Amino acid sequence: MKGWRLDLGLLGVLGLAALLLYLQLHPLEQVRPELGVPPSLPGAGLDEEPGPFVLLVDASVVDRQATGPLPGRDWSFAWINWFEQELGLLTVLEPGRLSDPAQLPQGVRVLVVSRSAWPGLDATGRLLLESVVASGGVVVAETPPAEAILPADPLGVVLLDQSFAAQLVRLQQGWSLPAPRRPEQRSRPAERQGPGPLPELPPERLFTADLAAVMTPEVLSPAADHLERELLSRIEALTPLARWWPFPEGAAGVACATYEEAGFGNAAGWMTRYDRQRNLPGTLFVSGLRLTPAQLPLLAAPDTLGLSWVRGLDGENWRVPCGLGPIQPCWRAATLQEQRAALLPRPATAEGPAGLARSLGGVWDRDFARSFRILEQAGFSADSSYGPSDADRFGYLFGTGLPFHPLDGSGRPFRLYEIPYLFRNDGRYDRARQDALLRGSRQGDHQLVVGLLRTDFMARSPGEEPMEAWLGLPEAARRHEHLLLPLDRYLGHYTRRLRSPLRQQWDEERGLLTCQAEATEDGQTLALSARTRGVGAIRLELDGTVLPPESWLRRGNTLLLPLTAGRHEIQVQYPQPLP
Amino acid sequence: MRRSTSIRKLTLLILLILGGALALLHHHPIRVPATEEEAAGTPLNRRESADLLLLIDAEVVAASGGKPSFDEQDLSYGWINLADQEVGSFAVLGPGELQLDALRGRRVVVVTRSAVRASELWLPQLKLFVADGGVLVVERPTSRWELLTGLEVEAGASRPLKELTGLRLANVQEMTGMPWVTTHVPLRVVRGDVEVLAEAVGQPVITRRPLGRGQVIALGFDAGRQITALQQGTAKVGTRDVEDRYPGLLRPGLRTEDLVADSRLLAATVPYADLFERFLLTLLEGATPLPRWWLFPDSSSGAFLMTHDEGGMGDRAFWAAQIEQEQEVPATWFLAQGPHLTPAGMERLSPKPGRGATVGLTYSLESGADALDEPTQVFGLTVLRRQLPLLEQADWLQSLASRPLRYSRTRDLRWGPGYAQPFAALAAAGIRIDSSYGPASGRGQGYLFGTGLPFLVLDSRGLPFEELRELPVVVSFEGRKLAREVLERLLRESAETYHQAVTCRVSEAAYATDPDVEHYRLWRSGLTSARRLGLWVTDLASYDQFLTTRRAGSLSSTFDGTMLMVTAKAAGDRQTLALPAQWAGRPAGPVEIGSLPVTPRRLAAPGGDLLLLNLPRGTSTVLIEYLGAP
Repeated sequence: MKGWRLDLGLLGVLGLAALLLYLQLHPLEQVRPELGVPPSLPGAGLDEEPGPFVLLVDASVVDRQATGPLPGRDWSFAWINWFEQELGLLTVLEPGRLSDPAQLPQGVRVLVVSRSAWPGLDATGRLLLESVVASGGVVVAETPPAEAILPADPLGVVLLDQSFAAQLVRLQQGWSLPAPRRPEQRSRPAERQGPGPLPELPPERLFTADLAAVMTPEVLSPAADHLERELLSRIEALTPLARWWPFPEGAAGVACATYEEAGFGNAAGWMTRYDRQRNLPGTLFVSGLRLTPAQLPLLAAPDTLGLSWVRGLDGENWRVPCGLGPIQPCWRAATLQEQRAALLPRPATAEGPAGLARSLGGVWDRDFARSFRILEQAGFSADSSYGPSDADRFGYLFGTGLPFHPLDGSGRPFRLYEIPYLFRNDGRYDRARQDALLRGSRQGDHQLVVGLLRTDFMARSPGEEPMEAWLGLPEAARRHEHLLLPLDRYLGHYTRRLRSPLRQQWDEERGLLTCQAEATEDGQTLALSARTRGVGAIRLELDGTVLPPESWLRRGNTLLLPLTAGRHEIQVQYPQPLP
Repeated sequence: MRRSTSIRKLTLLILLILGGALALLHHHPIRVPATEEEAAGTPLNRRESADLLLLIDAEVVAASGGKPSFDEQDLSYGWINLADQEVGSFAVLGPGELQLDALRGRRVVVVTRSAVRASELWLPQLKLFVADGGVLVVERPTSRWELLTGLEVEAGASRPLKELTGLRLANVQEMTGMPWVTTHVPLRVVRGDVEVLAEAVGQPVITRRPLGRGQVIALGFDAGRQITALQQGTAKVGTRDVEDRYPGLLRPGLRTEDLVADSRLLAATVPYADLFERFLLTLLEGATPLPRWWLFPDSSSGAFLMTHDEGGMGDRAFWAAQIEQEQEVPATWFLAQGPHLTPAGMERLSPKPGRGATVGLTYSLESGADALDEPTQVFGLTVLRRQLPLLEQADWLQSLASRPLRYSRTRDLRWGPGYAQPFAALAAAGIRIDSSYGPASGRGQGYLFGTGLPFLVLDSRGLPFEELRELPVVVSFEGRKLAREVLERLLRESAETYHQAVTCRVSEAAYATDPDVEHYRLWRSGLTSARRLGLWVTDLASYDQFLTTRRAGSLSSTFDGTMLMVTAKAAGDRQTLALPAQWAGRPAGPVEIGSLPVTPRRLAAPGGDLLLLNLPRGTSTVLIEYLGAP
């Protein structure tokens, strides 16, 4: 018996050793969900003097409706994106603040009364509406209740009988959450090379392209921006406006080459290196799969680096081993904060959070906005994961190329921006399609055209077209009057313009729009209505100097005026009397 | 009871040991190196009627292969590359076969180092040959040749040749930077009619002596060694000599570029071996003009070969083949055995039978973890990995490509373990042209092996492999040092001056390991430039076919001091005859083919301009007159 016990003991020890050895070689994954934080964007400018563009939102109403199916919730905060993208400036006001008729904001040119604001709009609020219209401004009324009393002047009101904000969220952020598909049906982020089964994503994950409201594979026009601009043109048909153009130097748009290291390691620097040679800095998203922080300076300048958020695509994880000393029988996936801390430890600047992120392969949480909550917690200023993560798709899957604030399930906006990319350099990417995007942007779409360029594309899906299209990107951008900027720098311009004061007065009788603009940087561009009430501007004056019409930069119904940094006074004269 | 307990414990122990051994082997499997079949070089014997006869003693050459030092080896067969590349029609005999009728119809006889002693028996006959107008070249003559050369060998050992001085030959300036890899015997002039053409440290190394109507040229150095060492490299592989050349560099395996005769050649943009061959030819032509088969078809001034190393990328790599097919650029693809190559991919490579790219094998000769191998498993655990020999790699590709395999390149241009061992394996596999020599690390580009032309390779004993040639890579699109100007210069100089085959190597796998935009752009611009410069853009199969036809032709001529009459038998179309545009300062006059006047293409070349004549298939008689008084 003693012999058997000894044998069993020996076997037990050996079995344990074998198990440990096995676990050391094939450690177990420890699943630890990453939660994130709720939105941190406050009602911007609440304590400041209101500017010419005001949004009325009642946060308490929004909060009350933050349950039930997503399409039915109150998305009033999505109006922020319309203001930021199209007008370049906004003040968010709670209707409850409008209690003192003596302290009503003055000089408001556009006032949007969102769906949430109506219940709280009392007599003082209605007084504000009247005063806006009386001073030549426009009130945009989103789904006003039947009992709402609107200003009487039809030239001062734009009525929206459907929720504009909900439309924006549906198009830009997407809430179409398909049921988990079978592997063979599931969209694939890129053609996988080599043998091996297609890895599954856990049921709580999907790809960002799955969120797109538009299902067509190729989308060459920005539906959300068309919606926004249609509203803008309805307003400009009633009154001329001065607003901040979303691009510097009066450009038709901006193109951003964003490169992905995606586990390519040191070899990933070849595209950015070539771009440096041709003086075109791009943005490189790096992952910690094959790189260490020490290697990063060899790949790109620090201000053009973003983080590729590794989330288990193709079974690849940034593993944090757990165990005791050298014995590490399990591991867990590194959190986004850990990934950031290890690779891009960049503190938030005085202007707010900094840093760009992009989920590698567009892996996203099925839970609405959960990924944004994690990104917000990690302190990123922008994410650029939205786009055709499926190689078969191309273009404006999310209706826009411009940055927008995503909303949480509660309806509150996140501080960070989502910047969708429009194409990736595999699948459908070619010179003709790239040209079509830029041409469309020059001819009226006026977009930020972000391309996701995998640095390993010549290893995964090599071809002449992706190479030639990339090599020809600067020339195509120039031909279509686009600037080429790193994403961070563009975002800097985009957000600085939001903080640039812009006052304006409209003298209906004299047909004169006067504005005082304070550009925070050279090249910041003022956009002025070239036409209003069916007539075109006849005189343009900058700081007392009349600009000859042949020098005017026109883009559609817009006159663009690139400014130098500092204060400027601009006057636009329209024919009198106005129709 | 106690016994059964012991057996149980023993069994348990054995099982545990076995299990442990299996686990250990799974992580460190036994690696069985490949056993390659190897062919040996054979004495070359060509009895055909040709102006040029080389005398080589194969026995002496083979016997020298046993000597411990490469420097002591007899490399007389190096001369066949001069004859093959520069003349194209020649005979090779052993000294034992030298009879009067063997000399009949010859205009130049070269007694190589190996044949010097055995040919001493034939001195009277050779004297008659020279007196009758023949040109005799003797390499490292002994004193017994004094009767013909007018030279005696002084006592003392051979000295390394560092530099030629007092040169009284034209068109050799470009050879100035050529490293010498040979020695010279101490010679002394003992007859007054000997003209010293070149010296080394005050001693004659090249002399000329008129004798009757002919001339005797003596070379005090070993020209065959010089040619072989430049073209095939030196056999100092694995010695400190090679290792010391790259101090501090991690070298995971030997590459062909490690064989270069001198580190200065790593970035040579001048084809020194060819310049040396043309220098020797100019020496002969000082005595008599020689007709030769031109190097390229249709009087082309040079050739351009685009080659791709698929490198494990699989079918994905063939995107470039499609572009080349659209542009009608013939290209060569070297394919490595691997799971990502499929019959569908092969169809993309060659969409129609007889059209599309030439396919060659990427020969994986690495050992260790990088080797191409076949695993043996026990209970699902890999315990043994057998490295696949060349023949199995070739079989695999032949069955995939459904065609015989004739061309090869080693993976990453690796080489070894022996100097000529990979050639022996390639010859055994029936390879006709290998293209493994060339730049691979990006330290330099150009003519690392003195030539861009295919050359016959020698085995470790110095004997040539029948029908196996090495076509050196001139430009590798790899590393960061390849500049557009270098490629443009190499192509332009090939067309205008050196008349080379410029073989470019594109590593498709580099897109996965070290991509570079410039390589892509150079690939595109190289194709365009080659066409613009009028180079013959070809692939290995077409080049091989052309060389086979060229070799099958024959050339013989007579020269009476003014009129050169050439009887040329072209074995195929597109063959071109080359003739000196002037001889002894006398320009060529009218040229006739079969009594019909023709206008040849004039081409500048090292050693003097050439006249190129396209000949039809079959026998042609060409007459050319050198104007002016003899």
